[in-house]
This record gives sequence, C-alpha cells and structure tokens, in this order.
Amino acid sequence: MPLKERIPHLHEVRSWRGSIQLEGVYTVGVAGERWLQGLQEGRIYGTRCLRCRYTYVPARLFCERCLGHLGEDAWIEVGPQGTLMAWTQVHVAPDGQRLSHPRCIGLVRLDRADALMVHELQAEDRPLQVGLRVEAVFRSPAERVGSLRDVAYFRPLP
Amino acid sequence: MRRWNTEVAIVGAGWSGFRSISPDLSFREMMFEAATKAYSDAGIDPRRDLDGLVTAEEDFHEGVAISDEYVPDQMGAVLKSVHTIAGDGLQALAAGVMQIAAGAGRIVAVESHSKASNVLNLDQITALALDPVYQRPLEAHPIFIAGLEFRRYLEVTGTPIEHVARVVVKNRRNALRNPRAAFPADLTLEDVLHSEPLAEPLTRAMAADPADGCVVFVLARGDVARTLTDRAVWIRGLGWATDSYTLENRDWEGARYLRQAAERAYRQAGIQSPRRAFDLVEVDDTFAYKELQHLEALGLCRPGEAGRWTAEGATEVGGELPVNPSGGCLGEGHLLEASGLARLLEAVLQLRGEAGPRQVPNARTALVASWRGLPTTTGAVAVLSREP
Repeated sequence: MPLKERIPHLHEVRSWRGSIQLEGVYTVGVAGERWLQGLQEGRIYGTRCLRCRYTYVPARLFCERCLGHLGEDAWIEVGPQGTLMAWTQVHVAPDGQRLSHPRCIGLVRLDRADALMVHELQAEDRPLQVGLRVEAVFRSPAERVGSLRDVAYFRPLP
Repeated sequence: MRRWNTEVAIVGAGWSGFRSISPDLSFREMMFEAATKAYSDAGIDPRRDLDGLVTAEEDFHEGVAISDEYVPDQMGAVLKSVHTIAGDGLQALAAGVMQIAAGAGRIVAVESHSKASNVLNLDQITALALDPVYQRPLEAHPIFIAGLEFRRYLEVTGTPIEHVARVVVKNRRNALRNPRAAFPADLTLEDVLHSEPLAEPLTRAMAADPADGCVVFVLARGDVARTLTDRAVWIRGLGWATDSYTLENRDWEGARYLRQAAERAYRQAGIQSPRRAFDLVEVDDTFAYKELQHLEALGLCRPGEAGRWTAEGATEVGGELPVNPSGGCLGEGHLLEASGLARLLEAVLQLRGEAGPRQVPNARTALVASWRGLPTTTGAVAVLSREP
C-alpha cells in the first residue's frame, strides 16, 4: 500500500524547516547622505519642488510629481515643529509578539513641509487629537549617528 | 485605456481550500487540485489546449528563491509560455488578458495561491518591505500603517467606529454560508470593538487572518470561449495602479491607488455611474476600514458615506448593493497574493448563479477590487459581466 491513509498527529507530518539568510547593504544615496548628516547636526531638511509647490521630507533628488531634478537651491530646513495628522498605539512587536507596553507612533506634517513624517510619539498623559502641535526631540549630539533615530521622538508642544 | 479589440472571458474556475492550515497538502498539490478543477470546469485538456500560464507570487512567501520556476509542472504548463507577476492575483489576471488580447495565446490559465501556514514569521517578512533607511530604524510592526490610516479615515470622513465594526459582523456572517470560508463566525459589534487592540483604533477582529488556498482561472479568447461554454463570464474592464510607496508622500485618506485603477476599468467598460452599474461587489477588506475606504474610492458612494450605508444594511446580501457576499478576506481568510483572485472567484460563481445559499438573485454584473496589502499602495479592479 503506497499511500498513508491518515496521519494522526501533526508532528508526524514531514516538512523541511529552513530560513532564508539575506545579507546586504542598502546605500542611502546622495540625498540620503546629506539628509542623515543633517539629522546628526540637529536639522531636518526637505527639498522643495517650485514647479509642484511640494516639499519632500526626507529630502530627495527628484520630484515624483513632475520628475524634475531637485538641485542645490531646493534644499530648505523644515520643522522641527509640526502638526499631528494621526497617531496609533501599537500593541505588537515586529515578530508578532504582544508588547507589554504599547508604543505610540505619530504621523506628522512638519512646518514648511508637505510630505508627512512617521516617528515615535511620546505624549505622556497628554490627550491626543488630530491637529495637535508637536515637535521633534533630538538625541544629544554625542548620541547622534546619522540615522532616523537621531530624532528620539516627537512630543506635544507645551 | 480604450477597450481591447479582443474579447476575453473566464471559462473555467477551480480552487483548493480555503483553510487556516493545510499540513496534509504541499503547495504543489493545492495547485494541482485547483488546476484540475478549473480545466475540467472549462472542458479543456491543458496539455493540448493551454497556451500559457500566468501566476502571482512572492519568493519570501514561498520560502524559496526564483519561485516562479516552481509553477509549470503541477499546472500542466511544462514547456508552455509561463509568466509570473510579483503582485496581487488580479494583476496576473490582467497579464493573462493582455496576452490573449495581444494574440500570444487563445487559452491562458491564471493562478495564485497562499501557503501562509508554512510561513513561520509572516510579520517579519512584511516588516522587511518597509524602507530600510527611513522606516525600519523605528523597529515597528507594519500594522502601525493600518492604525494611522484607520485613524485618518475616521477623522476625515467622520465615520463612527461602530460602522467599521459592522463590516466585520457582516462579512464573517456572510462566510457562514460559504463552504470555502476559513473563518465564518457570528459576532456582535461588541465582540469586534472589544477584541484585543493591534494598532489602535484597529482591533484584532478588524484584521483578516491569513489562510491557505489556491485559485485558478481559465481565460479564453471570445470566439474560443463561445465554443467551450455557455457560462462564460466576460472581462469588460481592468485597471491597476500603484501610488507613491513612500509613507511620506502616499495618500493617507482616500486609497488613491484604487480610485485610479477604477477610473481606468470603468472607462474601458464604458461605465458612467458606477453606483448603479453592479449587482454585487467583491472588494478588499484586509482591514475592516479598508472595505469602506475602498467602496468610496471605487465611486460606489461619496467619501464618508460607506459607513452609514453599511450600518443601514445596504451592503448585505439582499441589500441595495451586496458587498463581499463571500465573506471577504475577513471571512474567507487572507490568501496573500491570491486574495484578489479569491474575490474574483466569488464574483464569477455569483454571475454563473452557482453561489448556493448566498446567491445574489439574478446577478449580471460584478465589480472586483483588490489591494496588495501592507505596506503597499497597489490596487487592481476588474469589471465583469454575464454578457460580452
């Protein structure tokens, strides 16, 4: 009899268990380099497309609306204050495990920018609402490494 | 997009599942089961009649590299034209239709499947789709995107959260009458609102759980379709679009990707007033608010109207416009890349009058809309009809 009619227990199901290892680097590019360096210096930069009247954050070398080049004169400083557009309390970690303490993530429109920025929001016990004024809080200069996390979090303006 | 010069019809449909787990079957056996049903439904011999195969899949969900090479054998497509789309199944449908319209084949199969139960870290794979420089440093579960978008939707449209919960109650109840559905349930609004929070205001019950399954269709050029069957379902319009993928520049309010996709599909099908054009809709409801947002993006009601419409029962089977009579992704389970084809399957069965206890009486036209899921901004739309 070539066929097994029934496998009574799940652990008897034959399977191959494996994982895919993928190692690599993902270069940040010309605009990314300069934008992250800006964070390290405590500044948030955007690039403004004058034709489309739209400011990108993080700064980019091109406008996705008109596909024009955003050169030297397109760089402007934005924020660090902005307006809360949405927020969420997240209860799961990236691996799907439940977090014992939920974390709050905010969607912020920085002043002078059109693009929205997603980052950690620390509001303590302040009630949140769309339209709330918030600001980026940077890590101390010694702690900054040129990463998105050089901004520690956003918090409501007092 | 103008209408194609060539008519294309769906002449066969087959499926395997859908189930929450399927440890007894390999993914190849699931595909074989669905394919043989579809070929027998179409009355074709695939080794003789099939000109090509289009599948939709993602390597990371399959657990192998170059997974498109894994598909022809169990589909009867060895040494035929094989083409794989990394996207939603409706995009594979579009590729199949275009091949026929371009004269590259007369009969083409379209396939997609999910073996989600084989993927031990689906959440982490989805997290890998986030931008490595600008988002991944936050080390956040991508569900935060749904939480933020849901909040924005409630804020902008003024929709009460109870109306969103109503979508879950409706779809999982619809699934009770669907033997394919993996997650049928009779829930109350309180069950939905008070299930554990994922990314507030989103609760676990408002998010579709993944399931295993496979869906296969046989497409045929119009003249061939007429010789094969008198139950052909005609593809009248197709559209698909991708918004800016960046979280910074995408549209957070109105599912712009689907609005764009729908406009193309409607133009092709010659539809002026979508609200009165369809007898039923199968639309992506990966998250409950997405059903409402998508109905509005499809132009079936005004922005902010879908919630009230749902609460009044207009989208129930028997209502003004039944939405997701199958139970949707919430009731059937989310089939990863195959989820658009799962929506399409229900529409095809409804138009053939074969939907059993959940049949929408006298259904002649249907609208199908899919979303590629978190964290994407890709949607696809198909307009179907019983008449060419």
